[in-house]
Amino acid sequence: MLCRNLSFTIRNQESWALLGRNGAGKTTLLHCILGIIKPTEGSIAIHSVPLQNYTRHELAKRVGILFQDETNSLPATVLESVLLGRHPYPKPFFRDCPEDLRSIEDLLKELSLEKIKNRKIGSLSGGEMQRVAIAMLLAQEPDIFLLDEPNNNLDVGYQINVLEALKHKINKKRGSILMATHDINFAARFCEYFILFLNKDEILIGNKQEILSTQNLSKAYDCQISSISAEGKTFFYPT
Amino acid sequence: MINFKHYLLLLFLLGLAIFALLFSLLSGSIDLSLAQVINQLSNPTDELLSQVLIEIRIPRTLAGFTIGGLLAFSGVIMQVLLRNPLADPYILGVSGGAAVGALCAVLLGLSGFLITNLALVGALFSIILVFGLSSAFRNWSSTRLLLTGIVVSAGWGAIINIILATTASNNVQSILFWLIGDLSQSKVGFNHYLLLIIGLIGGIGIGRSLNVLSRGDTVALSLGLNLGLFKILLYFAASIFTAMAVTVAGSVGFVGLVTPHILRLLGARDHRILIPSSMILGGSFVTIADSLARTVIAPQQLPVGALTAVIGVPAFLIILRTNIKR
Repeated sequence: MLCRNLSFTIRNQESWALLGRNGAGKTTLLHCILGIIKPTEGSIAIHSVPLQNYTRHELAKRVGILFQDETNSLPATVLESVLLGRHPYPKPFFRDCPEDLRSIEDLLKELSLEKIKNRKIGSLSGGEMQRVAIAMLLAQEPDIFLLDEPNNNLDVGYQINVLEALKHKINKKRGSILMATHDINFAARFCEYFILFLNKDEILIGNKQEILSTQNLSKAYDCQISSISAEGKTFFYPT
Repeated sequence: MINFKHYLLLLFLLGLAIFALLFSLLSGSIDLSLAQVINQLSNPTDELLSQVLIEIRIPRTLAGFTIGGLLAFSGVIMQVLLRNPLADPYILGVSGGAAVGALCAVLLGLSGFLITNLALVGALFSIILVFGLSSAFRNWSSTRLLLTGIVVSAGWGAIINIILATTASNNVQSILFWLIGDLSQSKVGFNHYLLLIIGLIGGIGIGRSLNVLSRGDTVALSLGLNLGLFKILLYFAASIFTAMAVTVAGSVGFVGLVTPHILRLLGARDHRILIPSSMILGGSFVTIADSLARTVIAPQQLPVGALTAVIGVPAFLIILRTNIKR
């Protein structure tokens, strides 16, 4: 359970990262913002409106999430899955909405899913499944993208590719990103703001320069972390 | 999503339904020709024939089709609600409750529609019992519902076994037929047709929400589905559909389980298509099975529940096999 003082505001076009050890509460925090876990204390507001004033349906247009694990027992194809992302928006009674279908074709191209769009999701590799989940989220077009381990199962090329697509989306449409990740350098590449869970009672919040230091990270992960600078960037690694 | 192939599938199923209905009207202890049927309906000359047709054949055909449609609807809903491909309309104990109700009626020496009514009481009691037990906790999860339903179902099974083992009633044979699923006493009426139509239109209407729910609770929540209410609605809809079918026809097995799977394998994964096509296929399936149940060892009749499995098992295995090869 998460019972600590934590207060932050995410503004438009900002990207935030949540860093911390396993079980620190990163996923719990994301689920609180999504409203599927009720915080025991404190409040969360989106566009200055308290979370509990949103209906589920309205909230789905504002906040979208990439879950860490998904299991599917009933069959569906890639195309059908991505189309589910459009669920919060109005549609005809029976037919599919033609604009939805068109925008999804573009998304599939962007995430290199075009060739496998008619495959069943049960036959996909972990990385392909992750891209399908990200495509669903992009189709949902929320204002706030909550990402739980976005680079799970993705190779380096797709990690960059997928995050570029998400960044592009928030810059174009105005929106923000909050991602929980274990990859410090990946977070440093894409996020300007950081929430670092040091231990049970101490959470650091601030911009990249303030938070990402070898001292803070060593303390947070309880292991010695050093840094190296090259080409104007700083990289962190355990020693 | 819906494409041209889905419309073709629906068209094919409608053809199958017409074939099933005609097959059922024409076959039985007296074989009829299509011309005879049309003649007797428009201008009854042969009293015996028109009586057979209007009082036996047509009601029984309609009963078979309606019960198949109700069970198939309920099967689709249960599989989504429980997120379990093994779910069928009876998995949460509705048929067990109905069977105990019917058995009590027989033990009390009641007959006819009283058996049906007591079966309905048993089914409704079971529906409320399972809902009450599984929602006594704050978090109404599919797993808890499934476990509660299966355990209650097992409880009904135990009671049925005790009653059957301790009674020397002459009616055991008829109860046995009822437990397997039998249409010989079935009379469906306005309520059943109404439910069938509500299921068809309502099912298409909630099709997209079912698509979302089949991806799991958290995904459904994040896509804006009002999960708690929707799941309660699905539970009661599926249970009442099952109760209405089971009280008039007994536990006709296999239809609710296998019909949705056959159609998913044929490409109807979207519930806007899966619901109507399951209802049509389920109806046709039971109608054909019942026609065979009346004719294969005529004049003796078989319970339709025995035939649905005999046809369903190989049909399902063949489709499963061809699909894997592709």
